[in-house]
Amino acid sequence: MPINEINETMEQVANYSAIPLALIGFGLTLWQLAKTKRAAEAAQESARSAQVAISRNHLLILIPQLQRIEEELERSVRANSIELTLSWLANWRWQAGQLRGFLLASSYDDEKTMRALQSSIAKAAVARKAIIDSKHGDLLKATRPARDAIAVVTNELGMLAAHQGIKTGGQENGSL
Amino acid sequence: MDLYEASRDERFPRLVNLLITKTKAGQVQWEVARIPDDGESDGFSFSTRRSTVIIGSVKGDGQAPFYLSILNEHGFEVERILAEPPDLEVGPDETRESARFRYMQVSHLLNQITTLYKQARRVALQTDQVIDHLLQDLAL
Repeated sequence: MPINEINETMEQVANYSAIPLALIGFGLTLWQLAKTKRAAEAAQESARSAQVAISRNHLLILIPQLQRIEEELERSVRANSIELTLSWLANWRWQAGQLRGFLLASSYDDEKTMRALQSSIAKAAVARKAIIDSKHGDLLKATRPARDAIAVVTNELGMLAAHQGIKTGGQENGSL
Repeated sequence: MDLYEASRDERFPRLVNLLITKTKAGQVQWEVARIPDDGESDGFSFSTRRSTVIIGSVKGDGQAPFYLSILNEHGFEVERILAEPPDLEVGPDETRESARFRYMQVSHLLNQITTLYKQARRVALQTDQVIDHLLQDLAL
């Protein structure tokens, strides 16, 4: 057999034997890519879960604060303190705005709660304007719609807190 | 913003008409937002997830002038329309024809806002339910 033919044969053998190896290499690359994608998705999901968990924890901390604002507002109205009433109404608007963010982030943004929240924020703003503009200074009358709207929100939040307390406790401690 | 300015922005007449239609259909739940003191404004509100509309009579007497206020998600008033009866007089920059056109446009929007105010008040104060209960009690 001439040397040229031997070389050609060798070359052909080398070419054909390279195809399965290339295919294996390609398959390995695809597998690695899929694995990386799965890992990235899992990391993303994990980050999302962590964000939701943090928002829920913030929510649970914020709920008693909002309930306290409701109580303090009632107290300032009964004490007929214009300054304190204005201050607690402003406080409600600020904290309710925070609550809206946490509700959205923790997927508790149902239509009823979000509308009640917006209504309470608007009515707190209206009450502040009514007190500032009022010639008579009847705090009970000026704040009644806002206090009613705030009560609706805190009732909703109370139920949410109870539900969340049970859920968290059930998962982590097995009790409330 | 006055009523003429509002009538020239097609979104405001559309918003008022939409609120009238939805209120008639029972899809808009109006609430009392402001209880009037002597001679002060009343107000009835409707909130979505991120905004609130308030309609009221300026003197709290259920008569024009009315106001229509739009609040954003933080409770800040982003727009306020004062709905007063239009002026028939021809302004310095107006012709007789343009003054008549203005008068008709403003009158139409004022009528719409008056209708919306009456509906909002009726829903917020639950007037129909009170009348129904009264009729039931009297029939006993």
